[in-house]
Amino acid sequence: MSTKWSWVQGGIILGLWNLLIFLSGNHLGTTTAYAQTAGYITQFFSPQLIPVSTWTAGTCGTSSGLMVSWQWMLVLGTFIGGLAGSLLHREGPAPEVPELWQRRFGDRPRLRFGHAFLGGFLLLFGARIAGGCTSSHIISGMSQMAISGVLFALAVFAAGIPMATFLYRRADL
Amino acid sequence: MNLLWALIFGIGFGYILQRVGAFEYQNIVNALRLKDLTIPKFMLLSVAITSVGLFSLYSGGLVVLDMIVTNPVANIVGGLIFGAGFALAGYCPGTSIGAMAEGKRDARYTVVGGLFGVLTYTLLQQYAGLSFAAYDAGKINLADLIPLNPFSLAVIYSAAIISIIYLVDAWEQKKDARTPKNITTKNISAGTVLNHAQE
Repeated sequence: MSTKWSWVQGGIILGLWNLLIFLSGNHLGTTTAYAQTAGYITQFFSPQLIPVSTWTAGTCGTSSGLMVSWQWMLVLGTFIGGLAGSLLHREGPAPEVPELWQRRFGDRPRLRFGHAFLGGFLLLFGARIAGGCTSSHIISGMSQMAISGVLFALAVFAAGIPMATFLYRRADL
Repeated sequence: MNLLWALIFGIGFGYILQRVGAFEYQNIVNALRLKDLTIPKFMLLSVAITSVGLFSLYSGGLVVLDMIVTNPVANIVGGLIFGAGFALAGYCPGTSIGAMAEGKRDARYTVVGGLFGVLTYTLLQQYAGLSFAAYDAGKINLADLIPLNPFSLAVIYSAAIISIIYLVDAWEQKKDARTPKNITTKNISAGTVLNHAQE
């Protein structure tokens, strides 16, 4: 017996939650928090390397300066919410490497971490080009019937489906 | 005060994603392999619900829209790169944060990879003049393209999304009926369990 929610429950709850976020005058997004964090780190080491204006002039997010912004707090909350979910439901420690991945590629954690790193790199590189990510383009953007959100979602699946199929080729999992 | 609300909204967001299994590598990868469309159905349903609600509030002047600029080249090129990363990582920028909170070690690598990705983009922007600004089409949505009032359009849009979800769901159930799967090797979310229970 699973304690997880069904997609119908989850979809309704997220839909209403997102509506509250819009009512508060904000919108979901996580990519900006990555830019803010990377911006802070480079500013610490070398303020000349990348001026603050280049960080904030990115196509994504708000035009705010480098600061603990609304979106940064949202991401911190996402972390706490995820932690709360797994603690409250006593799901126990996650395996070192996802089980499905292990069945396909064997017990090679470092290969998995390499995939995860490269994936993360492409995710944020792509998100910065596109102007946002899953939360801002799809959950928030598509809710506003934004053309950018629809185009982004179609492109994500247009590349994601062949890529995942390729990674799991000849695997009957 | 505003930041406190951001934290509260984030906690709810993270909790919802955790409860539907969006932080699970296998649920994302199986969605992209078209083996289990629970997560896409969940996301599309949330979009359909928010959209109708949002545009009814919008008609009453209670909310303002806050869209990302439509730039067909940037949105599509970025989306394609993002999609490849999505399949490799099995997480997106938001869910990798939540998965990291759950103690998933691989998700930490996705987050660090993401920081390098954003750094690389910004360096290219600063020193190589990388820009897609020439293709900017402004902040536009369907209501700017179709001469209908936004609320009516949102109702049609949401109905279309729900029809897509229905068709996808029917296709999945037909497929599952043809090739009975061992539940444990599949998705652990209740959606799947429900579908099996109905059969």
